[in-house]
Amino acid sequence: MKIKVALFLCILLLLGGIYAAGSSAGEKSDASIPNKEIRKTNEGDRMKLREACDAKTTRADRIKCRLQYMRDHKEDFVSQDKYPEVCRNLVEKEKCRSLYERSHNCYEKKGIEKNKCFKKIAGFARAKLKDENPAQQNTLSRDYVVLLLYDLQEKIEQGIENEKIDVDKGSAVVDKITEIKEAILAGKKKEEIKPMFHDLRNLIKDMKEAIDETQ
Amino acid sequence: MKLNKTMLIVIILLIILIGGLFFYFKGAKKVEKQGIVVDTSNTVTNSESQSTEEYSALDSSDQVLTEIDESLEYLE
Repeated sequence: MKIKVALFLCILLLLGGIYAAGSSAGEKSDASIPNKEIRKTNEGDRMKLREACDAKTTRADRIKCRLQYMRDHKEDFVSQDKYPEVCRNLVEKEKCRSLYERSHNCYEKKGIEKNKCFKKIAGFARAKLKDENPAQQNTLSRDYVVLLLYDLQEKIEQGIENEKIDVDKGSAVVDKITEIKEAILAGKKKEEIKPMFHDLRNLIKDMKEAIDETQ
Repeated sequence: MKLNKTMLIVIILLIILIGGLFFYFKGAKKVEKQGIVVDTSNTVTNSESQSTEEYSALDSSDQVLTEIDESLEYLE
């Protein structure tokens, strides 16, 4: 009888140990976020920080400041500015802002549904750009690429907030994304935009390599 | 200590259970490692495309970059 009780206790201990090990492995990514380091600041102080970021003179500084804020406070940066960063220097600011506002819901979708949503907002009549009216392909592709770039930016911002991406590397990528979006919406030609996109790919490659080195 | 039949069965079951759990968690970790680092959401982020004939999925950064690259060709 004693042996059976001892054996039962051993099984319980082993199962407990395995459960604990499994739980910690599954929650590793969440545990890596140092929640205790989240700055406990009140809304008033956070508002001042956001205003300070918006007031910075260069785009690169504003972007870096906002990303640092997101990382420190683990929340999205809601700018006090009337226009999104990319619309600031454009002639057609309202049109730019409208595109952002209309696309807002798309970012909550995933996979194919997100793609469908972007294409709908960009004004696609067909599923593929190649099937669209050739006279409209330029306009449609501009809005569509802007929405895709914003999606890429969202992914990077999420990585920074979760402390998987370094703020310096991430802000360089987001700055380049913003530069490309601005150029597209300003109507710059493909010959000017393509090299920028090439630079963006290199920056993302550097950023990924830096992440791989730290892991 | 002599091992009776019941104890022997319990020990064998225990070994099977431990083995099963070990491989289960090892498999979970492997899936975790396959993700692309930029995409931090809880979506499938490996290079497997979920595309249909009509639309492409936009779950990982690589998928988005490919879609941008293709769409840029239509700019004037």
